[in-house]
Amino acid sequence: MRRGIDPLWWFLGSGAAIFVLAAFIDPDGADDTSVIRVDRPVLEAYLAAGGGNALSETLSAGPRTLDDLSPQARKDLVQRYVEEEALFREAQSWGLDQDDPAIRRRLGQSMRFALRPEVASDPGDAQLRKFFDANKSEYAESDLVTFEHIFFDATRGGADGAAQRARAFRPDSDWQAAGDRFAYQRTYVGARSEEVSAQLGRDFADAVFALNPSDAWQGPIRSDLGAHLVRVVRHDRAGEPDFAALRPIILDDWMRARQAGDLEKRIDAIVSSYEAKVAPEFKSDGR
Amino acid sequence: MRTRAWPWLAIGVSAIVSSALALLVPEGEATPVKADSVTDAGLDVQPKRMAYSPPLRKPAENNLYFGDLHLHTSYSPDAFLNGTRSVTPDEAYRFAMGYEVGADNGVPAKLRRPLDFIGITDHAEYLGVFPRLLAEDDELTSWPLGLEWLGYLQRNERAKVGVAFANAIQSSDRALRTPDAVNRSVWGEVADNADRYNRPGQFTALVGYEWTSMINGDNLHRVVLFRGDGAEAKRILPFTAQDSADPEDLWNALEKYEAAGVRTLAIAHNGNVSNGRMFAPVTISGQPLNAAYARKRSRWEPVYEVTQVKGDGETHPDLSPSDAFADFETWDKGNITLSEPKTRDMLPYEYARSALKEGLRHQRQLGANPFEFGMIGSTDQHTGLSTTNEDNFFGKFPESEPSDHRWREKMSAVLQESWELSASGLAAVWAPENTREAIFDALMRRETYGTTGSRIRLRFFGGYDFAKGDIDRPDYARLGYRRGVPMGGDLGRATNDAPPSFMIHAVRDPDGANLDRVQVVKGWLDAKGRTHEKIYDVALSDNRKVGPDGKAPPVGSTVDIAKATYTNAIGDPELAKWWRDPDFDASQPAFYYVRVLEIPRPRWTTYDMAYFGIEMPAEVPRTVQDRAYSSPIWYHP
Repeated sequence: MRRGIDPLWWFLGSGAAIFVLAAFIDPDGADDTSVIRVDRPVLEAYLAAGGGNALSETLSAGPRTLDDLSPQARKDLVQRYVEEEALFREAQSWGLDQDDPAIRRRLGQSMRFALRPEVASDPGDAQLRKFFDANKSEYAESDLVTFEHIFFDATRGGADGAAQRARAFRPDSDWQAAGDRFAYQRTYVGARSEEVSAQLGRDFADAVFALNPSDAWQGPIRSDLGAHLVRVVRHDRAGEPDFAALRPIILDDWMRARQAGDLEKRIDAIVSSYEAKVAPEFKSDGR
Repeated sequence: MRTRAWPWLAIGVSAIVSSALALLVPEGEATPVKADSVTDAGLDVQPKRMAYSPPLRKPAENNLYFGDLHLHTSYSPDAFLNGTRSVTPDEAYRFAMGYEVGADNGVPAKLRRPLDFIGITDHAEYLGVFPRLLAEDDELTSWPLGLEWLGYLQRNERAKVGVAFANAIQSSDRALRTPDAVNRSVWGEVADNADRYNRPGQFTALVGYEWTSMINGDNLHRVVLFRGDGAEAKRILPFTAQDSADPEDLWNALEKYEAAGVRTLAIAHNGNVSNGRMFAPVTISGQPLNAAYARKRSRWEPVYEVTQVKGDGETHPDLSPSDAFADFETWDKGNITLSEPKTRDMLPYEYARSALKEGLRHQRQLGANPFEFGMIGSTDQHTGLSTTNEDNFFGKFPESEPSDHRWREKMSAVLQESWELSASGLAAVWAPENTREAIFDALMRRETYGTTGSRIRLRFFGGYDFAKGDIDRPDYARLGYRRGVPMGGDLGRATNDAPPSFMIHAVRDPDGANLDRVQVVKGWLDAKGRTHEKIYDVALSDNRKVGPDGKAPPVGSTVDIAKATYTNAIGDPELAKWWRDPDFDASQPAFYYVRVLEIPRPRWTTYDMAYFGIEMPAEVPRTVQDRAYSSPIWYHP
């Protein structure tokens, strides 16, 4: 009477058989991360995605397939791929991808782009008007002033001297030939307050915007540079923003706001699928 | 020489003047051409179409406007493929107008001051195609090439798109062209968009596009700008590099536009990556230049973009060895795709100064000057964000938008490292008002200049009747127009062979650095047909004087590199000078242009070092002397 083979041997034996079989089917070992597999699909994908090629190579040679490459170029490509892949994996195993802010941001940015919602269609006047009313201050134009000025340079005889020379100007004379050379404009057309301030100082800008249009020369008004006689030709006061005239811009802004809002919602949805466990010391009661 | 040059002068100048003054002179009325009255006519004649601003219906001195005439957005395929996606033309306009806009890398951006005008010039080849593809536009996905590209995009096969695109862009195969219906619809959108943002008197949006010819990777790009509104521009379709890569064909196309009542001009850029093609003495087909070529080129290309993000194009240190400031943001590795390295013999046909000299030589041989161009600067940025300030620079593509690693990111992944990018440039225009017509006409008469980013203010007049003290008069500009010509103008020979004199007035950017010096760059042609150049330091800050060796002492530097700061403790805010050519020879054709230098300040890379707390290798320049280049004034004996 023979005793049957111990089930333990069966178990060990079949295990060994599987290993032998596996070695035949996949001699490199499927789950070994130290193995870099290079075959046709891998190389084709690598070539398509840039393949470490210089743009000059690709442009001067035209479109290339794996089969177009010379044996040497193919060898180089393989070497480049292996090197890139090895460094990439090693960097991952060192956790470099976890800590690199550039990579994190780049991924976040790709995600945001992927989440970007479709452009919405025109929602109609009622909705736009509501949006317009809520954001009216955004559409307020600034006042514009148009003026000419005669400049009296303070570096020639001081600020008081300049003002004195300004007062001596005879209004019936040729204004363009009067006073001193001015560094910037002598005529400002439809200028905003910031533009005048940039070149003549804020006080001067405020003073000019306070004058009424008139054919007469007014002033002298002092600036950081000297004294000025000013003739205000126009003062265009910013009226109430007009819905009808601004409609295309409002529509644009509404769409932009809508898109941004939808994007935030999609981002919030992703964020809320995670549970943030915040240490007690960073939990504020405020919000 | 004298008898030969005059008939040309009459033709050339009247062509320029008549186009420039078409707005101002009633049709059918001849414009008298006298060297000293070229602009006078324009100022005193009642305008045909009323100016927008009443006080300027009879302009006396013109106003100065700053803008960018070369900018790309997500509608340019290369911008899109490099990651410019959220900055559409709309965002680009809003940014130029002074609004805050988010860059594609997520960093918020805002200009210190809005621009006065802009020309958004997306590439005409596959204009607006990629954003529509990604949105799976029906017209495009039923087009086989579109479907193929969409596949690449979805699988993120960047190189495949890049190669397919580079191949298609230079091909005349009709199957590779955007379907007509899409093309028309995108172009209509581009034109209407410009109309939507155009605000006469406040902000000018010119309709435009870029013609993207690069033969074997040698850059011949031109932007095309329209004088009229969107409705006018929509009467044509952009002439693209797929129609022809030869600039002569582009000019012929612009001529056809004109016949259809659509007025345009073209502006070439980046001779520095053309590997000797931009100002070559031969045409694309290999023929030597002829008079018809010369007239056509100067007719359609009144100005040249002398400085931009891919380096400065005024001159090269090898071409101007005695010019201490010649090596400025120099790009001389190769052509635009870096497929062919640069050699020394290419340089004379790549830079503005030598091209102006070449122009004099051609003019003697042909009776017409192919390279009689004025100067502008623009950005060529592909982020939709027109930025030119050293401390507010958003790069060329999203990979060079502000970050602690952008300086070493290669442009478009494989080209130059981003630290080589130049925070440049701006187009400055002297015009009676801020409208499309006025800015276009100023470009046509070349009353423009370029800066490498800051808003330096520069006036330049030439004539025979300026007295030494005139530059100190308050109305020197009125005098300049009445008795001479502004920048971009031509002077004939004086009856007594007297030398011309010049009035130059430079003022620093109100938000920027003081001025170091004002220089006049002269180029001329001698009797033997050889060209020469010379630089005169005509005004120096801080009471410096040119020494006996002909050299001016350097202005010094206040730059603190660690903190990325500078002060205006040196330099002058304003430099004004009357100048007469001491080496004048009445028989030699010549040109004169002005170069204004600022005092040194931290380069954008130095701001990055301080802001991000990073170090860069020593090869990255730490300081920069930003500058302005005026359009030349030509002297024709």
